[in-house]
Amino acid sequence: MTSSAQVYPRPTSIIAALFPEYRQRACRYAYWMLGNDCDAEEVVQEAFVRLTQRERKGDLLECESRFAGLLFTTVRNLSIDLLRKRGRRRQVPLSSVNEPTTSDIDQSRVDQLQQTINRLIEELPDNHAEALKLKTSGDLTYEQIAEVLDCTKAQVRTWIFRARQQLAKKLAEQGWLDPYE
Amino acid sequence: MNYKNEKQDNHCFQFEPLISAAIDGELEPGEVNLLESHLDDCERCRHQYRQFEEVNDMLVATERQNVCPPVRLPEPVLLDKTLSKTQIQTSFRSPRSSAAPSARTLLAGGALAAAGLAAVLLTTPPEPTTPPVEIGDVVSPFHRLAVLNDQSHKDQDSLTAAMRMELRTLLLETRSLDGDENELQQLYDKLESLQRRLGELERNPVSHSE
Ligand SMILES: [Zn+2]
Repeated sequence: MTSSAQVYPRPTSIIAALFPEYRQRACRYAYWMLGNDCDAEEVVQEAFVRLTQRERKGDLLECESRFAGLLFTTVRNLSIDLLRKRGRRRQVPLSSVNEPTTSDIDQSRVDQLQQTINRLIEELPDNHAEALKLKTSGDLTYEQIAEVLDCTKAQVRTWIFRARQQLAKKLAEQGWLDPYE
Repeated sequence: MNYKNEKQDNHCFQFEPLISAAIDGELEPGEVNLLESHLDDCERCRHQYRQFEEVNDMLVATERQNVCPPVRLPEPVLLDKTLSKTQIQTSFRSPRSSAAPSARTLLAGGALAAAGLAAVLLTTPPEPTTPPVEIGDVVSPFHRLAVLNDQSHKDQDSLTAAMRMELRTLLLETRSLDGDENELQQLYDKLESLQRRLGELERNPVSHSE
């Protein structure tokens, strides 16, 4: 007996299989680059479509790691193009648009922290900020980040360290972290 | 005590980058022991480690978890389900509506766009060795749109947003199809003019109930 599950073809391409998981991560990164949901979503859609086409033309993305690097590279390039077209630089929203949480977390404090962190990230050198966001939003490895930013793994490591170092220093100064006695 | 701390401070800076890399699980094999043994007798670096971890926790906590809603693997039903919600609004709002979009509205728009892409991914051939995509494969998303039209014809915004997504992907698809050049050019032109008309429609929507 053929089960009804056989009626629709299952996605066999690596892109289709990875789409649900990576969409969220790519959107978070694009949102940081572009500053709003609509643009972020559009850019990520476009990136997925382009990669799908490459795959169809026989340019196989043989593994997930390769796919992740290419996806974020495409999302980054499309975001930069879009910003250039609009004559803007990277736009980080300072206001929070998170859904209120139902847990016992103090939402206003989370919002305040979010604004502080967004502002501090803005103050970082571009390389440091981008490497850090690709790590925290994209959950990429240093090797993948190096591919996206077209630099060495050692540079990624240094940039992320510098970013953390400065964030820790500023957050401690502003009372968000305990300073070292 | 003080003497010991001062002495360590002098080379602690060498370990700080390792602490950051350790948090990301990116230490080289040889570095793991090196860092561990330093942390064992350096209070200052243990504090640094905790601080970097806290920074990381803060970054993750303030990362927007809900930029786009989770989406299921592409299935034809997805598109129908998403659009049959009568309350849905889209991120491609008509310029007339003045209210700022709520996060929820934007999320709905995201799901919609994802559904459009899902339809495209569905037609992906499994092997690169299979024959090139037939035009029929690519145009098939429109069949589902026809069904949608019945289900939610009142929700023009949803429909135009979905169509816009489909059209954009179809245009891209057409460009990469093999076949008679004239035929393809005609198809491409048709799609492009549809896209233009849709754009006009979005800019000057048929008036809804205000
Ligand atoms: Zn130390």
